[in-house]
Amino acid sequence: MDKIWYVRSSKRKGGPFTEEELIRLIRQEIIDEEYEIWNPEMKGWMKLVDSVYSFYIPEKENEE
Amino acid sequence: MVNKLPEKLLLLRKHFGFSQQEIADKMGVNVVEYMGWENGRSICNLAQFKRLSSIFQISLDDMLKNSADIPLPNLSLEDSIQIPFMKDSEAKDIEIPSMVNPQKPKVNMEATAQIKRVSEVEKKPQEQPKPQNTIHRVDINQKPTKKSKSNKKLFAIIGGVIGAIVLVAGIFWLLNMNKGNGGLSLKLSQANRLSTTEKFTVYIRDDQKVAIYGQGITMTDFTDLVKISAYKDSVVGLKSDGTLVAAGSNTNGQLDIKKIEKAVDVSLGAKHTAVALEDGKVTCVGDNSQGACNVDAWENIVDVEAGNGFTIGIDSTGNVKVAGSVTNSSSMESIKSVKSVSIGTNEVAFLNTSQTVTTVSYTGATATNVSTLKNITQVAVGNGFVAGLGSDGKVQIVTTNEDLKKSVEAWTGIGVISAYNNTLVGFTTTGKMVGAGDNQYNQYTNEAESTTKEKLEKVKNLQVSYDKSKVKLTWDKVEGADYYEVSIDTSPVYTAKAVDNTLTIDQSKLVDGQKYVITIIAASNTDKELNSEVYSVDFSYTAPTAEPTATPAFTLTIKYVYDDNVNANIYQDYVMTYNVGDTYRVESPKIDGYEALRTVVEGTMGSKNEEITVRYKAKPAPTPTPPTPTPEVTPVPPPTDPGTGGTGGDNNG
Repeated sequence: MDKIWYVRSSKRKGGPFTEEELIRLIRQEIIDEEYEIWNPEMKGWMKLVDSVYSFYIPEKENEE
Repeated sequence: MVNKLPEKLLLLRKHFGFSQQEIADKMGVNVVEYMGWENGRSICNLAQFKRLSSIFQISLDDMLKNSADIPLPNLSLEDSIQIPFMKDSEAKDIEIPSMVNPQKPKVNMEATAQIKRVSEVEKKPQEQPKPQNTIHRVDINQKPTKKSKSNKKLFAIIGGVIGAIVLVAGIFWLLNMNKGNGGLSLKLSQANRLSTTEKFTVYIRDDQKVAIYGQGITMTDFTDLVKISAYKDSVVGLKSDGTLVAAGSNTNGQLDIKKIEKAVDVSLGAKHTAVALEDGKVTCVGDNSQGACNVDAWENIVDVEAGNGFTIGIDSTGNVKVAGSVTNSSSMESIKSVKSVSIGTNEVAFLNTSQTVTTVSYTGATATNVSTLKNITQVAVGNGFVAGLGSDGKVQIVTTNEDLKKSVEAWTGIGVISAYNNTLVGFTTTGKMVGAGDNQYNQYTNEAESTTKEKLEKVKNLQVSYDKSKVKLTWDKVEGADYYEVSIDTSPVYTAKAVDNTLTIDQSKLVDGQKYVITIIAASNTDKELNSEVYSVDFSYTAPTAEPTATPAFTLTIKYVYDDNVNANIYQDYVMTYNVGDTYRVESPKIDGYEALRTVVEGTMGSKNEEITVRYKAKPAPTPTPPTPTPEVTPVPPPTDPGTGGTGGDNNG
């Protein structure tokens, strides 16, 4: 699988990652809602939360 | 997080009139898997998102957005197939996008239709504009901090380009007006280039004059033709300037076409002639006793077919119109996404944009089951058979006549077909005639039988992408090609032989800002096939900036290995990139039965890539059997926020 995904937030940039790695990082919350994602076939950065990959963000448990 | 993909897929699929099975076929997946995406059970991967964006003619960005509020493409029947082959004179308005997105340069030669937002389409469905073609964008590296300045420059450039185009268009218009013939400049294509009828066949040769086979009729002034249509003992031709010419029997006034101008399509029926005009209207001459000419209200028509007492029109969105007294007209009008139509002896065949065929009987006879026809680019209907020209240049035919089937399925390299009653004729892309079935009047000869060499298909769909210091060219694979000859008009000229349908070129061979012409020929090592025609595409090279913002600064790699063997990974590497001076802090994953000799890796990123190894040693075994690390164990993920405590460990990096 090609390493094509890049991520960035106000603090960090990361990549390139494979799609599998990107999904793992999202699931592990290493990449969270503050991040944007991009690959070279996209026109621009996209907020993770606005993308279909937000599907992989773990659901937050309700805080009592 | 609400998954909007199902809503988006449903919207796009309905917009194009595809079934779930059709999309699944196009995607190369089982329909159950596709249904999973559309009902939210599962989500597709990036490659599948790319394929979907191609099928639905939207950008990858729009496809990846978790939103159903996306631009819907106009349903143009021609955009996706014509633009990649645009001739130089047509390829004039390459756009430069706004410089706001950090990315590597990329050229996409595919065409896109101009698009409308969903809300606009819903409000004014009847006001869809005629499709317009634009060349896709040439993207270059962009810097977000210079957005407004870049935009001003960009607007100035675009303004200048638009002004120049308007000026050229105005001069063109004036020149054409002086010709006094309506000013059209239609091109010869395979569409309606061949027409066979009861006693003869007519075919427009490459010199745009007509060749006639069988019991001939006198045809004068049949020159400069782009389309031709024959019926019984009459024939009508469309010239490149949009005027018409006719010959043969005119008992019903169906050949009174001399006053018609600005025609873009013509079809001769039994007693009338239907003509599609440049403005999307249809005009009709001849017998109207059955209402075949009640077409005044039709709009946006791009294709017409005239039958015996009825007319069928296809509009620019693929909708069907029927005029005249004919059985099952409402069934015909319910068919969507139609690309072209063919009228046979008892049934009508509609070729749709998914390259399959739908048949409707208009005499009460049972329509032919054409579900086996796939990847069809043209369709021709006779008496009891439906033939489809496949994208591979072979003809697929549904018929109970085994001899006919056997003859037709042996044809290769076919570029156009036509049928009448029990006859099917075709021409190869090299201009050789083939025919099968009834040949009582010698309406065909099998010229291609002795031809052993067929020309390879022309290369299409060149994509240009950038990878570090390389430019990568990729194009559609040509069946039968053993290699491809690629050349670029650099100085000196760059030539290369590519075994596969891809080629990588060092960017140092190209000059920033220079325009080039890339040509590709598909070639064969065998004697069976000739090289393809030359595929030629204009290409503007823009060198990438030295350090794209998307390119990371430096990479930190942490390897997690067994203490006794550095080559054996105990856990997947941690890879993250940081700017110089960034601090990082990564907790080592916890692995059952093992303990990390360094629980946290932290530091400040220097000006080079860093690789650190964290070793794990087995804990003392509580039982005779030492624990085994299992992949199911979920380690504590490294924190995203650096500098929040923790302890250091042995640094083996």
